[in-house]
Amino acid sequence: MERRWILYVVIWLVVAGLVVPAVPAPTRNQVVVTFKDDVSTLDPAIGYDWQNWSIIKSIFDGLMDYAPGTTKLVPHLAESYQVSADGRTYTFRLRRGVKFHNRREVRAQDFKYSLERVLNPKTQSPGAGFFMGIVGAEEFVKGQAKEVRGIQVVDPYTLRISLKQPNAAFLHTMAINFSHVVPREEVERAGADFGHKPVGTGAFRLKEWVLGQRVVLERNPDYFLKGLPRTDEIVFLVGVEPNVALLRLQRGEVDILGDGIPPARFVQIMNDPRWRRLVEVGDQLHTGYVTIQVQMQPFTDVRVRRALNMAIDKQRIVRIINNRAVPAVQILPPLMAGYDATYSGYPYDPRAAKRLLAEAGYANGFATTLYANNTDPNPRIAQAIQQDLAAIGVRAELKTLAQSTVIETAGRGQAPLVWSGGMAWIADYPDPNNFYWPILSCTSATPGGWNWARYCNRELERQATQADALVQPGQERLRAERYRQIFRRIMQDAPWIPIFHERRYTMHSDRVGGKKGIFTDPVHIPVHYDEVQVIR
Amino acid sequence: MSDTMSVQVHVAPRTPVDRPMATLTGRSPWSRVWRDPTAMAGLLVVAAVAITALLAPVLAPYDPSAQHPDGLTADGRPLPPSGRFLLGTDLLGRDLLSRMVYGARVSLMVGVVANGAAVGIGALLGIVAGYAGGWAGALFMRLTDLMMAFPALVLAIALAAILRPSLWIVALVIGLVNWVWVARVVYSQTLSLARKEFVEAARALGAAASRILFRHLLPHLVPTLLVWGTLGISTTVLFEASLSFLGVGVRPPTPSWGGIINESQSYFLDAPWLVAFPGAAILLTSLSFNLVGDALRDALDPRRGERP
Amino acid sequence: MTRYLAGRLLQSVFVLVGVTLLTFLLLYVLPADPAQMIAGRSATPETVQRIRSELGLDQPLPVQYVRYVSRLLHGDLGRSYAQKVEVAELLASRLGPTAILMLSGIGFELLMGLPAGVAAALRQGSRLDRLVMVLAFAGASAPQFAVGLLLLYTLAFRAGLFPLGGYGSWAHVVLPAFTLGIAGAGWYARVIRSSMIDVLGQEYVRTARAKGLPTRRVVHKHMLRNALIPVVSMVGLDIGTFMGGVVVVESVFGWPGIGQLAWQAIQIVDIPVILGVVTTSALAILLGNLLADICYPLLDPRIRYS
Repeated sequence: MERRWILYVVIWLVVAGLVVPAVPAPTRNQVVVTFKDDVSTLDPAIGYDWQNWSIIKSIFDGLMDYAPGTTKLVPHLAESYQVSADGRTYTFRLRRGVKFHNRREVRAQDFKYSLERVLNPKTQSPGAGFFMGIVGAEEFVKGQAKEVRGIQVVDPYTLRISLKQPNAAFLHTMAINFSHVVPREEVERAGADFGHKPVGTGAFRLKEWVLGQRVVLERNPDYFLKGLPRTDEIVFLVGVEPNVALLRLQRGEVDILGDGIPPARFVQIMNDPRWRRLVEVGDQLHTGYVTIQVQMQPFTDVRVRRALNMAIDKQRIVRIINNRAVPAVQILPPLMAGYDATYSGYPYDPRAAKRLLAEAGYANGFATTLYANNTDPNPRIAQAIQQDLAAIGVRAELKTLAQSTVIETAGRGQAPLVWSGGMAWIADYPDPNNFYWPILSCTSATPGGWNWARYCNRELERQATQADALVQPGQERLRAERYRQIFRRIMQDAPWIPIFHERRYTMHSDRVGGKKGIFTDPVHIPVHYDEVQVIR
Repeated sequence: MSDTMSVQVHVAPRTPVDRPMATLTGRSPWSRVWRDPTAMAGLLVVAAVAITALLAPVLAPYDPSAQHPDGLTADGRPLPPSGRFLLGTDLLGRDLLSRMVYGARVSLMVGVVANGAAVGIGALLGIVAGYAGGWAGALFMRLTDLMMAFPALVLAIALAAILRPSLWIVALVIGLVNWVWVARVVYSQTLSLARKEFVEAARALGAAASRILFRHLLPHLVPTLLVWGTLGISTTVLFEASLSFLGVGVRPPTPSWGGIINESQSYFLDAPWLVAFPGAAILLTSLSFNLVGDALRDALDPRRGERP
Repeated sequence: MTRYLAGRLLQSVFVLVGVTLLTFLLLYVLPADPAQMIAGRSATPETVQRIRSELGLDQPLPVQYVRYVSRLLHGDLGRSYAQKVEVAELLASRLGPTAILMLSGIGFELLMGLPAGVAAALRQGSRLDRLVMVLAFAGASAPQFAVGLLLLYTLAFRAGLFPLGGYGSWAHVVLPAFTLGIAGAGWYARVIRSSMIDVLGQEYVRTARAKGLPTRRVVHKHMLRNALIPVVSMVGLDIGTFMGGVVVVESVFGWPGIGQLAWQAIQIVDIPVILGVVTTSALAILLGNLLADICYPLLDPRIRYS
């Protein structure tokens, strides 16, 4: 009797084995991308996560966009634009003949509708804050007005937007997903399901969505830019573990690893020439840092904060993550305007750190708490930081918690030290003020704000506002210089410990290729789908 | 013609009188354990683990939290077992052997104490519910359904944020989650046992409910409880890792066997020692407890150990 | 029997109410703000506050609970905060795969565990018995993620016998179900072994065997039925647990089950989805245990429900 069950198992396995279907490799003009987490929504007003960010960019378009692989702003659905002399009014001339996927032509009214939709509280858009600088936006949001006065439809192909104050980053907000244009009739028809039945103007349109399994996009034959997209179909497989995704890529079933190379196999891949050549390396607009709550004792003393900055061995931490990053000494990442290549920051010098602490009255160190997100590799990085702090006498209790809990605690200002990994700052758009206003400004140093350091310097606030007013062409360099000064000054106050800037490593199969930089596009994260093409 | 299927034989209750062998040969139950080599092996391992946990500071070659700069390769990979680091290093360059030695504390506490408590509570409630049957029994069982459906993960996250994380909270959550399984199985068995003839007989003789429960029913349930008490050590140790991951239990850098496995799992193909050694430790420990438990049970009830 | 079932139905309603209430309370106590998670990094506090009122999260807890229950009674499970899709749709898309994995997983557990346990009981003390014991503990001690990854790497990647994870055909089920089987079979083996040893030790069995009746007949007909009682309990429990999702196996194999949905929902505090999963899981647990309870009288006629 005991032998029989062995037979049963063997039979089952053999049968199952015979029934294995030929595993589908991507068809001729199809590109397959994997993600671990689900694609939540494709509504441009709402979508704000790693998976859907670039997919939305391929289904929808905005007035402005960036040249592929770069951070250079170019007009997109707008044919041209003009800025008034006082920098407060932008007039956009739209391209003609651009069609939504439902064949209707795009008009200026559609842009007004789309922006008002984002501002409308009922939409629950995370991006509403980007457009509050438009005249009349506040009244509209509060329900005091039926429309946003500052968005004017001059004629069907001309849109005029007036701002309360000049904002040098405004054009970036006209390129960000939240400003992408949507057709009113489709939104009204689909209601809350628009995110799963997206209709836009983009190079791709939605072909199929099997919840929890895959999203399939197909080429939009009427796309206004000829030659794009460069492939007929893109399949996004979700729920795929990064280690397994890599195995599938090595077997030829998958073309792009949406979540990158799994850390566990990173070194093997990079050391093996067979696989190394399939990896594209680029920089991101990213900084990983530890925030120091400057309103909490003993961190109110700048000497203590500077001591912490000198205690961390950043090279060692970078080594722990297999050299996938470069150590950071300042707040802005290398690709960002305003980055100061000459600034050397605080050196790694535990002895000097201890002296500073003693000067501040903490010769015996002190106890504190370090918060971190619990997804790998953040607990490891946090433990490395913990050890470095212990070496100068700062005994940090480590709390690795679910992301939502850390965000909540830090948002309430109750977290003395927070390692930002997994919640770190990748710029929403490639402008230095995106590293200032949401996370280091006085306006964000409030309960619920993301300025977890509660850093507020009124003088710098003034300077940043002034820098943002430099909108005229030709003033870019001056503005970059101003921000360089601002961030240098911030580093003197040391509300953060910048740890590293992560680089981007995108691995793809040898079936696919494209222009330089599209696999590490700093804006179309992780990959510029419009530009990917099958080359074999 | 007697048909075996319908034979109604009175099953004798388990009373002290049923220990002919031990008293006959004059040996105490313990000596039976002594003579059994596998049981001794189990006892040795259990003792070894307990001693390791107690004497961790003495036995561990390094500080378990020390991240050695030379504990990782130049590109940040952990080292396999070597002369310097006998079991290799982990992802932060810490000595695995030292971490495992200290980790024995957490794992023993969780696997044996927490799990044991859960089994005890589950057994108690299960027996009472199964014996009472009817109304009260149904109520108990709906309670277990409720506890099972309750999202333990969400509870763990909430506790992690509100309370000071500690081993006791882990033990609490484990207890809350595990007792349900035991209760359910014990309930089902008790339902069946309680209606057997020997119980009816005992009741007819006027035995009190508690006597029936503990003298007559419990011995039949002990094997099942033993399964949960021993196999449960493995699953509980691994479960503790998930809880600590959510922030409920031991805080980093405190090591635990399950925790080491948890943080190194995705590196399994490249650094298998990080999963293999703690996994083997968990296996050996729970297996050894099982050997000791089996031997004890056999020793205390010779009828059980008979060869069919 | 009908009365019994009706009674159970009523009790189930109470359990469901209890579960949703407790979960609601717990989510309220949780120090996490769903509005914050939706609003994301660049949102201003005002935006967060507006989202909070849109979702009705600034209402007092009892009001929120009543609203939820009244919608639930109309069959409306609400919409996911993050995806804006109806929770019912999300659950429906995951239910099928979860059920398939559940059935296959239990199938493997039984297939691997029961014969081994029975054989071990019949040859108590032998090498086979010891082997089964060691294997049982090995299976229980082996972390599922590592086992799954190993199986994928050897049988799927290197040998090409199975697909590399995913969902679609019977071949896709084998490895994930086998992984679940490895972890659980040991429990079944040990439980049925101890249960059978208990039955084996009882007088009437010894009498029958002493009379010379072949082991097989005695084992099959009478003993197995009694010994199966705890096994049936465990299957009932497994049904409930597996239908609640097995996150680890689902992640490794890319299986679109409820576990992954629940895990992601918990990370971002997507309350409607969490409540939906908890409710579904509770229903499955109630069903699984009910099925088990129905089976007991079939196995042991003395058990009766009045």
